[in-house]
Amino acid sequence: MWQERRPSADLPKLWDPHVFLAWLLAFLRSLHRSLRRGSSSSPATSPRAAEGGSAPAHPPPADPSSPPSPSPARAADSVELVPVAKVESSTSSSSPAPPPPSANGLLAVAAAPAAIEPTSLATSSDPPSETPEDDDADDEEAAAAAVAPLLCSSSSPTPTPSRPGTPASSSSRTRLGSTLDADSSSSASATRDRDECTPSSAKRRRVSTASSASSSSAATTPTARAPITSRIATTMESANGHADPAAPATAAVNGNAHLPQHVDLLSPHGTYRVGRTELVRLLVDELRSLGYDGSASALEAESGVTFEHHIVRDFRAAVLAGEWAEAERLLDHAQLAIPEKRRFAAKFLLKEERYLEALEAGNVAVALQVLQTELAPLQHNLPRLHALSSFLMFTDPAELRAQAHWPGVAGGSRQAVLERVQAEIPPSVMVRPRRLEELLAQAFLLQESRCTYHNLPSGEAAVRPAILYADHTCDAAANFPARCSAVFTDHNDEVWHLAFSNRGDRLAAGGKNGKTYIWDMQTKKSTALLEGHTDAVAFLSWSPDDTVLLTASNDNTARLWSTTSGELQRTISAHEEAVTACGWLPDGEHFITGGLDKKLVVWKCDGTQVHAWTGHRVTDLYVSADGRVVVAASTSHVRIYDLATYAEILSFEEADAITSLCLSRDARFLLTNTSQQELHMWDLRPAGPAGNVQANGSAGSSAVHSRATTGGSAAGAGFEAPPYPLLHPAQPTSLGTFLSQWPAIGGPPAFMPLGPSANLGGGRSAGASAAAPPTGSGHVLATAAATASGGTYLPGSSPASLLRNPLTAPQAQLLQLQQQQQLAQLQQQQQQLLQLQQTQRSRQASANNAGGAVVPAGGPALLAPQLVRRFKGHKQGRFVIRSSFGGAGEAFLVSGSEDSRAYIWHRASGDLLASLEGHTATVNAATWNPAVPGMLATCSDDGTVRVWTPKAGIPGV
Amino acid sequence: MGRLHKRYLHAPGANNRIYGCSSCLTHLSTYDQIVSKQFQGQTGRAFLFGKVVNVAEGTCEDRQMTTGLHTVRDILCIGCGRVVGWKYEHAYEESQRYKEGKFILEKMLLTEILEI
Repeated sequence: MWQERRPSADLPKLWDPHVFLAWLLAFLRSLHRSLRRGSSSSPATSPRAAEGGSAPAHPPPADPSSPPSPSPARAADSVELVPVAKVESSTSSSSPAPPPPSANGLLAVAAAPAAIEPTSLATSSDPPSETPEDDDADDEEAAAAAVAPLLCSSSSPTPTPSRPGTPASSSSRTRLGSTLDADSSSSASATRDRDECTPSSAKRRRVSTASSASSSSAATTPTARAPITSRIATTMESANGHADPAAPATAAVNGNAHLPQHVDLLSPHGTYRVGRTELVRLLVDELRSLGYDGSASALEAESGVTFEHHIVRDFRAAVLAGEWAEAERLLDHAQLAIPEKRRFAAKFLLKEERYLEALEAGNVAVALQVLQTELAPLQHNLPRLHALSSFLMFTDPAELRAQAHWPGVAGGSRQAVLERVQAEIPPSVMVRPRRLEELLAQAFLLQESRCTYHNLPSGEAAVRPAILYADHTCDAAANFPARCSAVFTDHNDEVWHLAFSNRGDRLAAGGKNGKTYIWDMQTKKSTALLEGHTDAVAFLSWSPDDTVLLTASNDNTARLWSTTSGELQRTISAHEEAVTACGWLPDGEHFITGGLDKKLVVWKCDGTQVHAWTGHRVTDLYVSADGRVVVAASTSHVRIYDLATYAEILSFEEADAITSLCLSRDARFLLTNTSQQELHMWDLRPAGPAGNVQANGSAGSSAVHSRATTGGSAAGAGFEAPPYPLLHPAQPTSLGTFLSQWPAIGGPPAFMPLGPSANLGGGRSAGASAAAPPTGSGHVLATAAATASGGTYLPGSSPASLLRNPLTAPQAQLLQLQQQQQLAQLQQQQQQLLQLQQTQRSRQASANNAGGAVVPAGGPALLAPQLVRRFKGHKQGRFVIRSSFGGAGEAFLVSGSEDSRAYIWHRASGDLLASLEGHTATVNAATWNPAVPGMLATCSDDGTVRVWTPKAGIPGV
Repeated sequence: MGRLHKRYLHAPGANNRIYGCSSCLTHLSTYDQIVSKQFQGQTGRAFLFGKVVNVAEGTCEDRQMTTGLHTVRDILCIGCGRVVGWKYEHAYEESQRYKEGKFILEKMLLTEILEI
């Protein structure tokens, strides 16, 4: 029954979770080391101590018999990471060790920097007179307590001083695992201290020394002077025009010449070489955000890497404080490394913010002055300038904020403008805040997307506990519906369709005998019987508030029923043939019915007809969750209508007859059951070639960035031509961008090979052929139309149209900039793509019999939908079989089948995960509970409805 | 039985007609698919069609027709299950090979359906 999923190691790896966690571990380890090393340098081994030779007190020379002091070479060991498991096992195997061989020696070394650094002594809480021999340093306890959690919580094996007798390790790249083995024996006391996490006096002292060293600022520490100097030299150099992102790395190397500049992150698919400086900067940032300012400073001091240049820091502060003159002055600073041509845009953003703030504060004179003397002379983005000037009309700040789509100072507009300006600054100069956390979140997301049976509630509101120690895994039995937990036999006749209520607490099913039952999912009892149809009920739909059920029947009527009393509220009898499907609009006051009489009608609840499309027999329909579009199937055609304008937005043809269809919640993916025993998933918003080329091209990271700024509109380029706000879900965060770009979640962009994951399971050949555009002709059509009209694939060539979009105006403005820059490049790319498509089309002509997209005559060019996945394994052909997206994040598909089973596929990979056995005749429909990811229901010709839940059950259900 | 999945035919143009099952109105074929009207069925006149939809096929059997021996199978309307004609699988005589893969629908069992 359960099919093992093939290894999914072939998903594109952004950040391999293994590597990432191991990397993090190693870094905490090196951090810990740095804390102690800052307090344990010996003149023989530490260059820094040697530099600080003029310090008042020399530490005692290293005692060969005492535990070896940490050697810089050891510290330099590039963190070539081994799998986390190995690290952990080596730690856990280290038995409680004997007491330190020479506590005194250790203490003496540990206290050295405190003695060397007078400033630190002055600024720290430690009394200046304290010597290593002072055993009772009670006032250190607070400091120790502050740092101890870090050490304890890090749980990473604390690296202890180096291997005995090898101050300068010949191998600069030693595997962490073996290091730990050596360490655990040689440095038992440290291990024990860490493991027990007790503030023993020795530990306290050591820790407090470290903290005292770290609390002193790097610039005031004599020992850190050399690295600082070199850093200044580098920054001066870059200030002179060499804005080299690698400048800090140079500093690090100058400061610690023995350290390799890179860290190699091992993964099963090769090694990722990451600049040491990058890692250190992210760590410093993360330490600060965790509240460990002292450790962050210590790390900066030791590594010689500053988190960000003081100019950047000042700039950030100036923007957040609203010191616009200062901010603009700093914007010109070479350190920010803003390309000349982008500086205008950045300045415009700052001035715009200043203008809006003045308006908000009611200071019209200042606003006017900014507008006339500063914004206007820039001659940049005139449409936006005009829009800005129109804001002068609003006297009410609330109205201004609403009209300008601007959050206001109190609403974080400065942070927002900072982020937009930051988009112009190279990320190496101005690091994204909390970048490390962002990466961790990506690792979690990736792990979840690779977890086959992952079926836990997600969403922005959901807070999920997550562990860093191990990869995320899901137990198939825990959350995945595989066990039949209830059977409803009320119908005694074929059951044709079923639907969960929106809150997931009730289930309705209708069938051949025209009766519809409603069951309560808690009590598993029937709560209502809707009786009145004179022929089979073919379709059911719950109103958004779950109070009314709409049924479509073969008796040519659709009926509205109260779901509580079962009372018939209204009968729609305008159809002249069978009503095949129906759906509610999210307002709860309108619904849509479609019939074989070639009518697709929008109704008001009172029975008045709002709109009707005619001309095509409707065999199935689906209203998008946001109510913007309705998708209708008619034999092998799919047509999409805009519910605001009632215009047909798009139509395309399947290779074979469509028995049913289903839309994903985000209205991006369309699932069609075809009579050729296949489920097809279509991407209705394939990425246009523009976005795609960006994503594939060398400017990968900048593509990511530009997508972030444009709120994912590049991905929606295909539908952009008509103003179609639905298709621009704002994804301003980079995590959102990540999601939208990640094939496993958002689907691959057009023309991008699906990647190995697509070839898993389901259908190898299907994956291969789906990788190429199946609707090549449609693409060529669209491309040709766009080229002919002088348009581009980029959304909204005219800024005016951009401003109508939900994009905020500055985003639009940035977009416009990018457009200008990319226009020439794009036109070239379009030519290349045209050729590519034509060759692909000829190559694929025989393989793909799916029809091309129909571009509305005289209408705007639309991109054809892309067939992104095929799902096989079930059986259908004679009957209308229905399927559904479902599970957490709609990660699965479930479909009925004519072989009495229901089949579940993994949506991202196409793998067949399970077939549910229990019914004894054709399973006509299967649907997932929209509120409970672990529950689905099936209905069958055997007259039963079955509810499926995880083997372990669902709490409370 | 489930909800039957029926194909619906589209017959644009003045001279085009949809032929459906006379008992359940299930679409079967269109006028432009008619290859020949010179056939006889069990109930009288029959037409030879190129393509027919919404039919289930029975088992193969050899039948001696007026034009010779053929391998044929009955076709049943999926809406009502009635036998509406047969399909030629194989013709033993070279001159009759053109019928292979084509369908006979009996005129008595057909009705012309008006496009809405």
